[in-house]
Amino acid sequence: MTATLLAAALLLGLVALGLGALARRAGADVDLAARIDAVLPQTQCGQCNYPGCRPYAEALARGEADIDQCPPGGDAGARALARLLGRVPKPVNPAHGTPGPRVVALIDETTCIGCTKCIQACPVDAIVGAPKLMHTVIAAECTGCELCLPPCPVDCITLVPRAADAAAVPTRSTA
Amino acid sequence: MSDVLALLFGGVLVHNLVLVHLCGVERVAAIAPRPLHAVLALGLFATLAAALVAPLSWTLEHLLLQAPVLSTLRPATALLASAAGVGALHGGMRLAPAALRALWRRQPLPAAPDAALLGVALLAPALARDPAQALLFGAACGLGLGLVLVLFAGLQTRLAATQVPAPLRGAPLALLSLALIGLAWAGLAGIGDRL
Repeated sequence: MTATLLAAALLLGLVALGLGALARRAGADVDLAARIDAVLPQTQCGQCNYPGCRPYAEALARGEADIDQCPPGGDAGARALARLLGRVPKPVNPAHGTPGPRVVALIDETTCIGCTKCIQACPVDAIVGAPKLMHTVIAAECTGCELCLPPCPVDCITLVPRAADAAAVPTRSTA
Repeated sequence: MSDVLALLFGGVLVHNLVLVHLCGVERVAAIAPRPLHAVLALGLFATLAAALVAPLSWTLEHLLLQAPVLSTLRPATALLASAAGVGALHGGMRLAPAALRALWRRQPLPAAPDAALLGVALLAPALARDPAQALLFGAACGLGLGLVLVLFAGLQTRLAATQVPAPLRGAPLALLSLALIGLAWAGLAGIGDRL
């Protein structure tokens, strides 16, 4: 009887340990990450040091990231994150970049040599083109994340202010 | 020691709730393709529930149903035991740490006394000799249920990526595959039955 009890206690202890590990693993509330992601600007620019908006949202949900790491969201975005997470609002940390007006990439089509490097860099597939053929930017898809600037060997990409009548950056934001 | 092993082996494999006693088939067949960690949590919570139900049912059985004429009441006491076990788990989870409680709230499984727990409540008094054995056997039964859940969730993930003839899609294929696994499981029948 004692041995049986011991074995049962051991087994249930292992079960409890497993559950604890799973709970820690799932500690990041999935719904919370989704709600944070909905507030983020979806530029996928990586300025927060995470690969994209969703990974940043998950890091925020886990409590690993701070709310001041998203320059495209600007101070308003940081305030929205603070409200959502119940933290003290603070401006965007300049170390990650400075918030500015919404911009859109523009390729100087006479200079473009068709190297496709910017196409590979674009996180939202907003650049169309083929090898040795001119590329162009789909303005409605471009998030202005600037990730296409460094790879361009002929520096033919510039950022221009988004036209006032152009569609806003595609965002899932509902807040 | 061999008793302990026999109970464990019996609960997890030989007397597998789903594949041998066909308790909780509806739950396993209905499981959607889910990531492994979600199904694992489901199985571990089921283990806790079963470990609560089994000794309760054993005690009820041996306190109340000693007279032969009363054995007709066994379904009622089994139902009572499984409901009480689930209730106790619900209560216990209210006191659990927040992270565990969040995990528990996301589980669709152990919210109600279901056929699998009823199966535990009926099997434990028949196969265990004392409450401690019932506890161990219940936990093993829960682990067996978890094993089948994990197996089947993996199978569903595979099936979701294959082309299944329209008439078989969904429940029919789930039941067919469960039946085939159950047939394979029949090879384990009778092992350790002296327990």
